[in-house]
Amino acid sequence: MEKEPSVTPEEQKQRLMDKGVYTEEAVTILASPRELYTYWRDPTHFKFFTDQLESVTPISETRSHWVWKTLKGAKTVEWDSEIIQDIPHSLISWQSVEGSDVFHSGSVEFVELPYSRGTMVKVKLAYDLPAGKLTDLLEKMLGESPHRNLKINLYKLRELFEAGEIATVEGQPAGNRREHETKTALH
Amino acid sequence: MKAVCWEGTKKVEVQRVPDPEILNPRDIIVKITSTAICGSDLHLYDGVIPSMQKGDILGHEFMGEIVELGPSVKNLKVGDKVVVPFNISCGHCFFCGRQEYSLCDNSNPKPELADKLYGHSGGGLFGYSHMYGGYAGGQAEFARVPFGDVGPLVVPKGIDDDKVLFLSDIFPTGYMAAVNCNIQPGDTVAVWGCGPVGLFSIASAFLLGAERVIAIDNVPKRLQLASETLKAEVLNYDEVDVTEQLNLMTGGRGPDACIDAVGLEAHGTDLYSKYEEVKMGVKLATDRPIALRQAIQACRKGGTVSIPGVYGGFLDKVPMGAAFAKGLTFKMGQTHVKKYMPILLEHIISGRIDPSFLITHHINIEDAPNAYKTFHDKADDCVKVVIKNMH
Repeated sequence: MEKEPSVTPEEQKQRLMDKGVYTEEAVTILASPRELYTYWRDPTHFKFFTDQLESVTPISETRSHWVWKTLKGAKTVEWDSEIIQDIPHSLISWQSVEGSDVFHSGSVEFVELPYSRGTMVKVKLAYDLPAGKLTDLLEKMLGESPHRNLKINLYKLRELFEAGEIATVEGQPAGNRREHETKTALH
Repeated sequence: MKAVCWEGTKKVEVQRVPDPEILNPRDIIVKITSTAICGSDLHLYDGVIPSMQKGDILGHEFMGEIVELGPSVKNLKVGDKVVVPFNISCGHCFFCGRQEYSLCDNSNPKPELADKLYGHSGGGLFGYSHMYGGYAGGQAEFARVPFGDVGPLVVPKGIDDDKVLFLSDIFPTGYMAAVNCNIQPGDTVAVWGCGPVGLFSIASAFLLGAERVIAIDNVPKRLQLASETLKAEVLNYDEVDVTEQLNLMTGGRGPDACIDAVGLEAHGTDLYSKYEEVKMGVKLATDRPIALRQAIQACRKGGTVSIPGVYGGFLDKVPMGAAFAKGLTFKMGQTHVKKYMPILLEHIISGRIDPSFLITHHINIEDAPNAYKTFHDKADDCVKVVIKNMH
């Protein structure tokens, strides 16, 4: 299933930049654009490299329901997301559907590098509320640094593809006076 | 199990902690038979490496017997005797593909601080701060080894631990320092620091064909090992002006390559070094590059400065002008241990080198806190401490 490109990447970025929170990150992974695209295209894969995600449920070929954990407390943030542009092995962009509490849009681009140097995975994300002002809840969902969360999640994606598992120290022994175990992300 | 835990600056304790478990499919668990205290552990002991936490299990030079394998590990079996590299490598990323194992992209679960401080994070290390992953170390009865199918080197069962234990770090580290010198026939190599890494740098420089090696330190026992065991020429920096002397010894040309096997906590006799010790003491500086400064000054034009000594932060008064004017090459970094293990095991088995020559202390794990102090103070002629009889 392929949709005609409706916006250029520049327009996409401009559109995202106009919104409340915008973040952009890139990581290079030793895998083909086809493998990465295919993995990303299935929303049920996101739980393997995104700590902040509570659940995601596919609704149709292009639409899915996303539930996000928040930093503190039991409340979650959720929305339906619709793929608005889909160029196999190259680009996917999406946005929350009309009437969602949160406006979210994003895109991922897969650019193959020469001489088997892997594939650049370039991700852009934006969040806002229709009213225009970030609520406490949304801030709690994004944490102090949405940029950092995105980066760590992309590292995890790289670990999955290259190492076949995600590096961890959670559950290892430590001395008795350990005060806290630092985590990679805020959640 | 018993484990040596970091509890703050100049404070290590042996504690009872839970045994490690397999956490990922490529993990293995090693029952440790020998483990050593490294000179770089003393930087942790001194509290000059950021991001340590109370309760961190120390140790990154260890070997033992495999007692458990994760479901994805197919190339090893329970009962294998292995030496474990101090750095953790996934084996499949861009950097591991180039045998730059210490730069592994996928083995540090906490890359944020290094990303911020250094631009990019290196791979994970055992027992060496949370910036390097926060992995529990190997000064313990057991250790979990992530990506166990990549790093650990299986060694012959009959061989004495003392001969192969240092393949985990200091022998490859000294060897890579010498490899980085790009030694040519007739070359003179100067080595700052005759601690374990310096001593292995000297031995490796000779293995790689250096004509002369000049070793610099001020500790009599260490200078003695360098000159008597390894046949290096030696300079005591308390007694001579090192750069002047090196110049005289090399006919005014300077050593072809200079190895800084000291790193961020160098001691010196010049004015800068006193000033820097004070600055570092009150946290106004992170590192004091005294050996590095001399190495740059002494090195011949077009020569190489090779740095196995650890640096952590920012350096003051590094003579970049001299380095530029003389067209020097700098080579440095954490050792790609796995790359050098097989050739060095070969050297050991063939009898060309017996790395156990520098061991001065064998201890039980209970004595580790005292041994840290002894090693730190360079007391009791301490050069290298090996911990045995853990169980």
